[in-house]
Amino acid sequence: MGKPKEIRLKNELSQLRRLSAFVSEKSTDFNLDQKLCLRLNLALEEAVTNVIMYAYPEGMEPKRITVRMEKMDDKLVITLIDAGMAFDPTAKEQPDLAQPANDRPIGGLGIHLIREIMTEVSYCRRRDRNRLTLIKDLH
Amino acid sequence: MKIKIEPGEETLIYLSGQLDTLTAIDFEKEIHKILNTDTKAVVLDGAEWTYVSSAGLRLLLTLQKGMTVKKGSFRLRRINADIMDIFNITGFSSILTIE
Repeated sequence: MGKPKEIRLKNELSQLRRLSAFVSEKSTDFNLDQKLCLRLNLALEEAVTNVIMYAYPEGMEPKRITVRMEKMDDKLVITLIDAGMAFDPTAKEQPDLAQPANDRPIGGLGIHLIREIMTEVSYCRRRDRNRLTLIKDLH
Repeated sequence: MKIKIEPGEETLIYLSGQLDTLTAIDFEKEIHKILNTDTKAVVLDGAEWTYVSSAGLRLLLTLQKGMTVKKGSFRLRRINADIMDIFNITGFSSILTIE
């Protein structure tokens, strides 16, 4: 039997520690280098934090977030599934990186980091679930 | 993560470990304390600092903006390659003063 390829996280920030341990473990399984492991950890921290902070408005009972990490040929495919309100992070506008510090809005960087790190980012809403797919070419 | 602050005319911040969503909460408190003093210069030493996420970047921007309002300065030194990589992809390398 293979090692588990997914982890289910409670909708709590303290779960980010479990997430990071999972990313390190899978990176070792897939023989990814330290630099990529760090970048993947960052992309996933950003994506999962977004869900934990914004997917469940007051009055809505939070459910678990599933993070799946698989290697398919020379691609790494990461899927995040949550049952929060519909939200498409890929629809967000790119921040203006050339803006000087005083004009830069505080925030909006998470999705930008995910896009920079991954090769492909896609979103779909299916059966009342948000599904964010992050793909990284490994060659 | 560990945060060590050496106050003075030039305030030194030594960060070690990870500045992520969880540890950013402690760092934010320290930043507000520093911005409430009359220090004119803040230097962040990153020799032992290994990771930053957007929660940490947000705080660096808060510190940068706060020091500009105070007509002071904010500099970073001894930043490692992994963190520089993140500064480069977010454009932070051009808005922060990195020695």
